[in-house]
Amino acid sequence: MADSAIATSERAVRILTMIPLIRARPGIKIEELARILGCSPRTVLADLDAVLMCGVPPYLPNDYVGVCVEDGGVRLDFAGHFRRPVRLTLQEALSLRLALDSLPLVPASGAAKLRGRIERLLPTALRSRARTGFRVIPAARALHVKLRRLSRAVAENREVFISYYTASRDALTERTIRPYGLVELRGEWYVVGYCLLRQRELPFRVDRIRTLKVLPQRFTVPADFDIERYRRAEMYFPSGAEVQVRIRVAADLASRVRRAFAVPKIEELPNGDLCFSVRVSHPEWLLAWAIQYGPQVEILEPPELRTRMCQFCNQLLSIYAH
Amino acid sequence: MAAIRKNERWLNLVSFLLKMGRPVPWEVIRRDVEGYNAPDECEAAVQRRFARDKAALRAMGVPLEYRTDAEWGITGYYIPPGSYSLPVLNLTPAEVAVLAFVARAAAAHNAAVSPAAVALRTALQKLQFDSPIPGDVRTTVEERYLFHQSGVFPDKTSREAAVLEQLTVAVLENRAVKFTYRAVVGEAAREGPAARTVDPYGIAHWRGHWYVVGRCHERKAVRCFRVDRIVGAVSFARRGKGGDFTVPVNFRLEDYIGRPPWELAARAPTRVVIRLDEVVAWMVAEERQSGDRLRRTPGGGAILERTVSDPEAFVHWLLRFGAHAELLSPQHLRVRLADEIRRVRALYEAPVQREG
Repeated sequence: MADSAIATSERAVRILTMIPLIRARPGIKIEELARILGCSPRTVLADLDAVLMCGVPPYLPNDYVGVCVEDGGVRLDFAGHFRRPVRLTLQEALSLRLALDSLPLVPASGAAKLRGRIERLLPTALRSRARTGFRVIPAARALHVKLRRLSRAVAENREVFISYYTASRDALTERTIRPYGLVELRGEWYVVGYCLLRQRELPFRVDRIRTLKVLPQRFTVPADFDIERYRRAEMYFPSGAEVQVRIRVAADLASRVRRAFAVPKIEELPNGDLCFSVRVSHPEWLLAWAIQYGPQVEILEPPELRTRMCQFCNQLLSIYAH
Repeated sequence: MAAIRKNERWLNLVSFLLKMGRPVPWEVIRRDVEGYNAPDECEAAVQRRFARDKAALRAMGVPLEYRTDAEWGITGYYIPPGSYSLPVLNLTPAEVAVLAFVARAAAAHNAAVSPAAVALRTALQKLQFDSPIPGDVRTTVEERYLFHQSGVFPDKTSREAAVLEQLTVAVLENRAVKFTYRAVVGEAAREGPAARTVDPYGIAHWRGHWYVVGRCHERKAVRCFRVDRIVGAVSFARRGKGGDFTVPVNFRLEDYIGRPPWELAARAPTRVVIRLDEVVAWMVAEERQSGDRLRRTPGGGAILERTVSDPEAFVHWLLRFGAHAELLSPQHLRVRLADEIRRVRALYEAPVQREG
């Protein structure tokens, strides 16, 4: 289906929900409608224009739905036959259930019940197929435990002491952070906050937190903190001191590369291999990243990093020398 | 502007049929309802339009039926109010709080117009008819968390979304599908992209990726396919209404998805022992698999015993820990690991191959 066709039917469904909503709550504010419907007040007004054109034969004045907007509130007349929204479609019920299953921070008490209710909305014949055929496989339990504890610290504005694996330094470090919020990016969870060790706001990957302890100390989130700043293609914030690294990979590793880096451009080499450049501040971690793919990955530039890779290989080989 | 007219036509039709509350013959719709009642318009064109509108409304969940009225014997189009309406769902405050989380996650994808993203939005609108999310619950959630890019909500441009839609239908209707697949591990990878026919038993999302699991006709066994490695479109293998296969009663998606790569090959299992230092031992411990035996050593390290069926995948997994991990046994795998490292070193001892 083309985008425009999808958008048209989305609008129709929204209007079929909006009409009974206004009927049930006469005088409801435009802003409130926009909030419930998850759209802008402008969209609500445009939808109301369409509602005005909705009528039944013989299309006399009283056969059209009457829309009255007063002091920002809306009332409808002659819409008595629109009592409730349309039942959920299969696709809607499934989307809702998958969304529920995919959010580890959803309060567990309500989630199980809501999941059950949604399932009962599906046609009986499809219930068991929907249950066996669609699943979000949860991440490791350890990650869930850490996420829950962090979300409590976020909600209560409490400092957290963490032992953290810094990939760029390939080492464990300890520090206290002020967790401002939690962000998910391409399947990875990050806690974003002020790091008392580095004295600045940083994202930390939750799965690299070895241990965490919620401290009694409280903090206030600075007024200029904006979690939207982390709505981006990658979690890496360049410092300006980056080195350019050029890497060749076998063609079938393209999706791994896209997972590991937000690479603007991947070139194809004449032999079918792929080639790309990344700018990183501590290129050392690329050695372990590259070697896990064996000869399918090769760092081409800079020459110093190639020399480091030789040393890295020798270091590993010394372990296996006996 | 055509879109607006289409919307008005749909609304008029639903409005009329809901108001009538009994079957309405096509002739009456043709004569009276705006959008179909132009007397000078070609009959075939109006009927085609009506057929399209019927399909569109049904896809939106409107139960538009064609039936005979028992009382009057009139045959026509009817929307039964009972099956049209969303059942009353008075959600508890705890359930509304959950809904607020989902709404927040969906809001990050507000611009997406894929069918899955739209379905989630309209579902949230409908559920709020009886149980609106209060403003304060919403703000608390919004200020604190940002859910972003989770692959569960496919984005507008992704071809993956279209493939998923098709696979969803195939799973629900038990229809065999055909597609071209590019494998990345094992022999299949060396053979390149290949045509597959699959009975899709289920779809799962794991760690940012969608997978379809089903019986592969070519391999005559249950296989997992990552949806983003499907090349091009997915088509149904057979015509008809589905029911091409039955799902084995004991089938569980969890048995196939979320398994580590070293368990995927169907070869004879090998027991391996590795030593991990304190920097990485806890990471491995957190992702422990059933059958692993982990013994902690003083200073935070660990000795891990594990059964692997794909030594090649295992060796590569181990290499990512660099000098923090050592394979202790079996000896033949140690040799293999060292050979792999030597092959890598050889690349770097030679000058860079000219790229062009």
